[in-house]
Amino acid sequence: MDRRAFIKSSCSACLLAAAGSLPEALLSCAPGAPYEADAPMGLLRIPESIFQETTVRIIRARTFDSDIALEKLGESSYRALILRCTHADNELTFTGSAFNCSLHGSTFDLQGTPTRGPARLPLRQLPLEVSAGMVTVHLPAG
Amino acid sequence: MNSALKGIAFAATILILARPTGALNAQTSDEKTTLGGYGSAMYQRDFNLKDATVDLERVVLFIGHDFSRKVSLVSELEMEDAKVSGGEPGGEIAFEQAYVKFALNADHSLVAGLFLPRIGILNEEHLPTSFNGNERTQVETYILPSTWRELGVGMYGRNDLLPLTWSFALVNGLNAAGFTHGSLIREGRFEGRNASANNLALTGALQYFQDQFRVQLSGYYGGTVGLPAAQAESLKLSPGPFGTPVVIGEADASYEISGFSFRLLGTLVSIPDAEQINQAYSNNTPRSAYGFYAEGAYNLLWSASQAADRQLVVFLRLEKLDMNSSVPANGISDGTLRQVHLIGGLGYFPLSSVVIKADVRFVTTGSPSEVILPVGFPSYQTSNTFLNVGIGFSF
Repeated sequence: MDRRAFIKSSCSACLLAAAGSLPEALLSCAPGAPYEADAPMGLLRIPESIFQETTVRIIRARTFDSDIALEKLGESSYRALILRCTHADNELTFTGSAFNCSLHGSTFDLQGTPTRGPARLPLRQLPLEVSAGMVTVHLPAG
Repeated sequence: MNSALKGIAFAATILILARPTGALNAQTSDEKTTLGGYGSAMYQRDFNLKDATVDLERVVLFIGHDFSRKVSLVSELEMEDAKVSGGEPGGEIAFEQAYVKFALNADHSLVAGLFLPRIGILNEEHLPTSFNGNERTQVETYILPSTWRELGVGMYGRNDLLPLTWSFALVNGLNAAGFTHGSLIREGRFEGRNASANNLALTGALQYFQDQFRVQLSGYYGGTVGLPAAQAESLKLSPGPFGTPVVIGEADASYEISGFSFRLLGTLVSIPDAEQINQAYSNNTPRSAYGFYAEGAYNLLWSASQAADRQLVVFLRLEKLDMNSSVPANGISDGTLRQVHLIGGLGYFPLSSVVIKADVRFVTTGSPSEVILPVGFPSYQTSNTFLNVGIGFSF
């Protein structure tokens, strides 16, 4: 094999390897698919076991129009935030460590505090309770 | 004058009818109205001309209304330069956005009406509290004509597994007859007023997020001839939905960490049939143009408090653009459209919604063409300095 062919084949192999590992690398950054659940009587029940690999999960209630970010803060301690921008009610995108609004550019940290305007109010936090390995989030009426 | 009165009366009516409810009520009532807005005023001194101006650049009223959990209205009514008066230059009342949004599910929504396609950074994030400096970036003013809104339908979505969002839109195209030397395609926009629907445009964008990092790719492909086929062919222009196209590619990235923020953007515009456009309209349309910028900023108050409310941001931005990087055989290359801008300044936010800005912009350009006389000729200088001081707000 001459030098040119060697370089060409080596580069091709590297590119193929990189392309093959790209989806894995991207998925390793992924927040994970939303956990979907029903919310009978406005009560959303989520097993604590879904937090084995991450501290933040996006929860999607089938009867509620906004996603909810549920963060495990410690042993039996959680925070639930409604993922709607407090400026113009647009849905937010979870980036892994923040929530972004595409409508006017507001950003929020994991605590729900606005880190960039125009939003000034924090994200709405929902009451919850933990018992028997289940987190029960109380959805608002309406 | 009539248009001004109508605009004011319309805004006043909406304000009276609107129920200024906080977004927290979103989950307790299906129907609600949200009010918001933004505005900016700026003093600018031109050191070459030894002249200064001050202007209430724009005040925009945002009105959003949720008709139901799934259907909502987003609108922004803008007044530029404080006053519109018949027969006098300056001043404009226009809808910057007015569209209905249908939430198809938690990840996908459809919009229809007048909206801002996702191209570049500022087209969506155009609030004065969202960008550094009094002026919007030159690249996103003259190469990407922000704020660029057109009529059409768009799909917005996000991926459940990856922090990835996407958008596609079909909108009305541009008007090649409006292309103007010195502002590229900017004057070819219809912006929702009596737009030709014979020619169309497709736009799309892909955004990837990772923590405080965001990268975006976006594109535009659209026809520029809205004339009936017979008229277009008599001008030797290709008619049809995508005839005589404009093609735009754009990429940008932004990153924020510990009070620092960085932005990079690059864009290319291609008008392959520029020669035919020049034959038809004699407007010296270039075949291609490009622009890019890099910006770094630091919040000097970040270490004192991580709260968003009080900030003192110092920034530096370098922009390079060429509005005629290549011209067809019947075009004239104009060096004044090859520009480098260096902008540095401060932004003080007493609250995250209010900013006081001061910056200086140094610009250098190429030499003027012997055929096209620039503004200020014969005393045109290839370098100039502008001092800008202003205030902005959003709510």
